[in-house]
Amino acid sequence: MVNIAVLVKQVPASQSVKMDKNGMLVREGDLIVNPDDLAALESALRIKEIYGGQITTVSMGPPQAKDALLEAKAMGADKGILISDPKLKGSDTWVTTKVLAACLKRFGPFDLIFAGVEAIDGNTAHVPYQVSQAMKIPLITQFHALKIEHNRLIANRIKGHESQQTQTALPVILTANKQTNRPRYYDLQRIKHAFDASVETIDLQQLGIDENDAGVKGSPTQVLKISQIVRKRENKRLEGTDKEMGNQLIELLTRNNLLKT
Amino acid sequence: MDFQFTPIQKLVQKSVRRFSQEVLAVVAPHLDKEHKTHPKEVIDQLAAQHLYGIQVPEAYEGAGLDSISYCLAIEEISKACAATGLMVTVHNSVVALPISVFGSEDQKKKYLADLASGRKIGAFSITEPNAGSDVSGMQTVAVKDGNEYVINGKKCFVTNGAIAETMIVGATIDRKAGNKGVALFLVEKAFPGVSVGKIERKMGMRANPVSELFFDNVRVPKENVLGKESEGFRLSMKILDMGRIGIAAQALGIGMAAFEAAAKYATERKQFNQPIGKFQAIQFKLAEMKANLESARYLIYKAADLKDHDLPFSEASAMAKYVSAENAMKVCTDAMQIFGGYGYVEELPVERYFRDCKITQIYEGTSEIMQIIIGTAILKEFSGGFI
Repeated sequence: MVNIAVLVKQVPASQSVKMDKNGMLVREGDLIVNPDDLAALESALRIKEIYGGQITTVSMGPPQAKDALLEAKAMGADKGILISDPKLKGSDTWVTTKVLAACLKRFGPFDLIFAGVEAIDGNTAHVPYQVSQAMKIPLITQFHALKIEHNRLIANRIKGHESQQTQTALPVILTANKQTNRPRYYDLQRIKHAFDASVETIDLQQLGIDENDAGVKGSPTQVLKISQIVRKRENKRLEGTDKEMGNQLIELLTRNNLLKT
Repeated sequence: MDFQFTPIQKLVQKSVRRFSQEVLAVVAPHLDKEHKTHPKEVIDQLAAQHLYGIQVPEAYEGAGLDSISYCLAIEEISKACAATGLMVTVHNSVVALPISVFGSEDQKKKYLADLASGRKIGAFSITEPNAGSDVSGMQTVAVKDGNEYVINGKKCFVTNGAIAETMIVGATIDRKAGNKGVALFLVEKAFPGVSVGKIERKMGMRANPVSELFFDNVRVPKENVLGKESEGFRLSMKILDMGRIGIAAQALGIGMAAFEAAAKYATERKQFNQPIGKFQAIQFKLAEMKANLESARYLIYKAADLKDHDLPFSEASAMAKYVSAENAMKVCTDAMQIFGGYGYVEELPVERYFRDCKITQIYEGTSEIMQIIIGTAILKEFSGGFI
């Protein structure tokens, strides 16, 4: 029996990511479970199918983030814990890490913690590494196969064009993304029961975290500005005979270092 | 009145949409071009999601969901691959669900779990070469012999015919009794004397192996009669009432696929130095397409909602099927017009939507039969029941 936690984040569907003028994420429009987190949950479900156990999903977010945890239940998770508190508004990845680590300690101990590599809204990829540090447990990235033997995790990792086998004592945190697996489609029977009981919601006080250590106040990093990268393509029209146009083209390509002579 | 979906319904839609777009939409053009039946992986994936027993109780390995969820699932599947939608909707609403609603405990134990889990595919077989809209012309006969019935006859245009292992078959047991002389039987493909005839080559829905079925001295235990012997016609009408909600949702799915493709194309295709969507001629078409699909959608949900509340839904289901099929066909025609020549060639999916959609005006009761059902209900209402 393996006690598994999966970190889950609710994010805007990629077409609808918006930031306000302070660079804060605007949570509106369609919300989805962060795609890498679905891969993390898929890995957790495969472990559970082999070794048995329980899967708890953990998320920090506004009240509507409970939908992401209910969706995780439809996919196969056993229970969900949402850390939701207005005082967390504006938290950076440092605060998020502290909060998640406190929650994992309180509801653990967990043998395995799965997380997505990164979220499609902030794209920092900080949290799994920081949770590993905060909890003083090893982190394994880029795995493609896992097994548990004598209370140790053996992971085959992608290492360039090679597969590297590593092993570590439990607990361990592992990161997954869309290269790791293909998340399963939900079973309608599970969807029907995903909403039978809601997720457990806790606040900062219950985790024993001071409000001064949370939200914007507790965040050492700040996003200053978000701006769009605009790539412009220039059209150029060549004129003359075929030969002249050919020469002009070669000259243009050479001048822009696109053609080595 | 509540026009909002429940959280379960929303998640069903989202989940089936993802599967349909990632898996079904990819295989659909190939299956269509090659007149090929669904590969086993697709059938297995549908089964793993319990899409073969959407409304069947969980005790019989179904998902136990309501009719609205069912409509959402069929719409999404059909939007990606109408032929898969056909396999799933027929299996669900005119085979599995009728056994669930009208079957005996023994029949449910024997047949329902296998159907709801997708271990076996189902077919519903009434139509004969000379009995289409007019069921009373049925020439397949069942003669009682001790504890069995012996069935002889020929059926045609059987959806899922070549892959079905469990089928509901209509046969005449007493010609003099008219409609009351028709019974429905649960027949296994494995029963001696059952054989599959010609598999039709069709204009659309090509991935579905619609076939003839032959019954040559097929001995069926009398316990396999669905409902009572005299009830075959009445049950068939009730079964088709349920089935039509599914076909309506299927037509809506095909129409939505055509509409979305056309709307996107109208913003991309430029003529006379502007996207063609800027021309009112195109905007008016798009507006009409959307409004027509929305009106079909709510008739479908209305019929499904009546059914879920155990209220009469025969007329509502006929209206849903009539309006959805007619509107979806119109939408497909307009979508092709917006695409112009590109809509007519096989490279883009619009011509497939057009071909697939046409049959929704014909099967499980033609549009004209739907009008007759609605018209009869109107006369009954306004004549005080005297006509």
